[in-house]
Amino acid sequence: MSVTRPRSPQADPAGASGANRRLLSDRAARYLLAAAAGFAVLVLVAVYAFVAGQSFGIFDYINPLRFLFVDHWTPYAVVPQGLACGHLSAGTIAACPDYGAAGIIGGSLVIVGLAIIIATPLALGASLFIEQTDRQFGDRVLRPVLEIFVGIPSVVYGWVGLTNVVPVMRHLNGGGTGLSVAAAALVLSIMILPTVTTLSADAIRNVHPSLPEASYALGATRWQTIWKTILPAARAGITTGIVLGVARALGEALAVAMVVGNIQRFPTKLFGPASTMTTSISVDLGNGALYPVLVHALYALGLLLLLISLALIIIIRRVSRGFEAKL
Amino acid sequence: MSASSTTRRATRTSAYLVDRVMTGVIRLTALFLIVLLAAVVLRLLVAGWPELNLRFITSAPKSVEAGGGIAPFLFNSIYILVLSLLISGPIGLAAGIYMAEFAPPGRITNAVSVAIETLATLPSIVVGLFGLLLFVQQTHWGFTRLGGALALTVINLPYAVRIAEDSIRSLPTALREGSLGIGATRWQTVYRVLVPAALPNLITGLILISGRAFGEAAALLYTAGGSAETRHFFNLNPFAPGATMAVALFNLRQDASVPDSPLISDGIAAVLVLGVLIFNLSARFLGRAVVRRVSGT
Amino acid sequence: MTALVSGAVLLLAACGSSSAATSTASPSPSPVSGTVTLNGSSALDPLVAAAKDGFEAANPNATVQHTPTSSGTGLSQVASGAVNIGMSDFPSSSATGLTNADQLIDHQVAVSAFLIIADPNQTVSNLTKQQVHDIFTGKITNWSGVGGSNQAIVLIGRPASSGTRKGFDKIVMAPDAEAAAMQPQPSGGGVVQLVGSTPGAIGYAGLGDIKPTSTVKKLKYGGVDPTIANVENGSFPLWFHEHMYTLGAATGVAKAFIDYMTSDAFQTGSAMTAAQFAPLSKVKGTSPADQ
Repeated sequence: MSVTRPRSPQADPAGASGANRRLLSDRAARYLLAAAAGFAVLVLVAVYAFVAGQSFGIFDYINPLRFLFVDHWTPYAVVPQGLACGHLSAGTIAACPDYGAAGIIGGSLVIVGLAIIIATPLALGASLFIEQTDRQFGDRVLRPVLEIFVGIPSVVYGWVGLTNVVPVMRHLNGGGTGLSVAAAALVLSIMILPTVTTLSADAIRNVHPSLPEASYALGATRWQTIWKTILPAARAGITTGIVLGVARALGEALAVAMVVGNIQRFPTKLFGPASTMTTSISVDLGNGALYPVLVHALYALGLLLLLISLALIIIIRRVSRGFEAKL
Repeated sequence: MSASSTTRRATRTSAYLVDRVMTGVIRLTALFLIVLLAAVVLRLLVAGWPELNLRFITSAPKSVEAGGGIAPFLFNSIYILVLSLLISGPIGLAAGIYMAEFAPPGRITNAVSVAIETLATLPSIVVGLFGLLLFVQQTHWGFTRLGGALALTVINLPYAVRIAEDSIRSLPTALREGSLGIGATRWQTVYRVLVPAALPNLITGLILISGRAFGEAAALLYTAGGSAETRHFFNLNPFAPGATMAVALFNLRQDASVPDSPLISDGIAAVLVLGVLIFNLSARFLGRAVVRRVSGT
Repeated sequence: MTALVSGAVLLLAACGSSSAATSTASPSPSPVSGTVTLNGSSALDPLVAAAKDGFEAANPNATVQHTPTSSGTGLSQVASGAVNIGMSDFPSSSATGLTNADQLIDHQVAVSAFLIIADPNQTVSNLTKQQVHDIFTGKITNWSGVGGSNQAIVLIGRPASSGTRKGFDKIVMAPDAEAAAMQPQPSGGGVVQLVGSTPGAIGYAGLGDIKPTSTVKKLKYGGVDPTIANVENGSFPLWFHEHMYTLGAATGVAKAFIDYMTSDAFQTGSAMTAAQFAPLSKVKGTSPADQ
């Protein structure tokens, strides 16, 4: 960016008292700016606090281990007359609503895992295309196009998934609705491809040119240089791209809800329906006040999502710090 | 010729072969990606083409018959976006300036930047949960455009901070030194020199944020709600419920109340994609134009 | 901004009064102005959509804003004051855990029927109550079990908060529960779309959810065609009363809208017939789903 001729600040005509006032306003401005930065932190703290505060209610009803590790989600169970479901116990477990979310959490992990497995090789290949084999076209055309694709709303991907991917899944499976784990994984992988590709390409570009030059000087072919020199050197950046892809896929709600079939049990079939943490929140939350315990359970799923994305950020920071240490 | 040199030559030949094969694989992968993305965009624009007209984007949806438009949803998308930028823009700019110019290096500043980074990766459905609690239930507003705008602000804010911070930070040091050298305070330097100089990048950033926020749905579903005033929607009442285009697209998929709902969905998807294109291209061109004006070339 | 809003309202009011003068046929004594918000039953929603046009024509400054979700959502939203009217397929007394339940006032507005549907290529055209029951409990998993071809059955239905689901469960399933393999759809329209495009699918949806463009096959239930006429003559049992709840007595636009929907003109009008609902006066007695 080229910036010339900055407007020079006018000299203060008021002399010494004016200088004082200027310093005062300087300090006031500084506090105001700091307050704005503090506000951003406050928002984050508030999100965590409010979501956590709402989620603890579920643990009055069932214990956290059951919530995390048991696959039995029956929030709408009709309670027989005269039975009190204050806290789930051995006596009431058969008839009372249950919130064992393992199948939903597992659904998220399976679908995101599949999406990453599909997207990573494609993203790596495309990023090498942009930065190594065809820089001219890749950098001028493909990269800007990918940056536009990052911005396409996820519900649009969901709509494409529902109208184009789901029928194909139905056909491949030879029956069923087509709303499935496979459809959700495909939609998510298409959705995160631009992000992962762009970030991987950035990582490859940031490899210091002396490394490939040395490799070529030793008589290595381009592929040998890519495989033995460039990819290892870009590892941290590529990992960051993939982890951000995981974060985006894990947090996506509506595109998945449109194609996954929303059955809240652990997915056992690739072409069968499932649910994820985000889809359960978006589908069930509307029932609000009728099922107060369910709302707590949904906020607990939200808290779990928050904690997982926090863990992913820590991973990214560790990876990039380890990378810096090595240089 | 010794045996070892034959082996070396064979290794080299096979290395070239591998190189050519892998180059082919890389190009095929890229080709596949290009075809895939082109297919997605073509499918969206072709299917939505019949609805890409003035009637569709300026008329209200119908409740029973075919032929409804999306004007209220489009209006709500823009209204909520603008309202949220009015909040997140100034706060983000101020916080970004602080991070770039005033924050003392150290643990606290580091923690603030981690917090902003974390804010940027919040799943938007969780922002929706937060918004439902704070802007819908606690305030007793119900589903409102304002509640949606506030939820969207939570999503926009970290990007606004980051763009402001990067734009200010990337300015040449000479600019600051020159201003401080002639006796300006740091605050004067910021608002008379740095902010004007960073304006092109700030505007480009603002448009890019708009492009991202324009299609947000999950955070708005339970804050701005799924219904829109379809009759007198063209009003600025922040307390009216405000379904946006993206939310309408999500809800429409299961709504057979109008016979042409798939066509309307295709139309909304095409309008959303065009919106993203317009935001991106205008960010590129406008950014360049503002650079030209500020730099006087 | 406030000035702008009120300015716009004034302007609209001015436009409205001139057009109100021309619609003298309106039964409503004096037009109301404002907005009424409704949320809830996707089964009742089409009738509200049908009433909206007539009501808005009679009241040029009034807006009806309706969102089809589910009866449970509608009840919880009206109970929390989020909307003016909660649309429900079942009485609020059968909803547990509802706050402010004692303050909800019931207004019955119509009788709604639902039917069993199958994918368009289905050869079976009639199912008995027992057969539907056994299919949805998961006891019968293949169409050959009910006289059809050898094809796996795909169960499609509604979530537990849905009124159609409650009605289906009470009339057909009780005391048993639907199989876990049933794929719940967020609205009746969604069931119709998915059943229409899924080979081997069976589902249930409101009569009004079936559009001329729908591809599903309508199944007879116990040998009786799913029609409003058969609901009125008592031979088709899959029906229930539709309710509109207000928090406290209905007032303003909400009251005017409910009055409009229960007026003779609307109850016996063509909109009711077109939307596939039965007028209150034509259906005698109560259904198990009304409890």
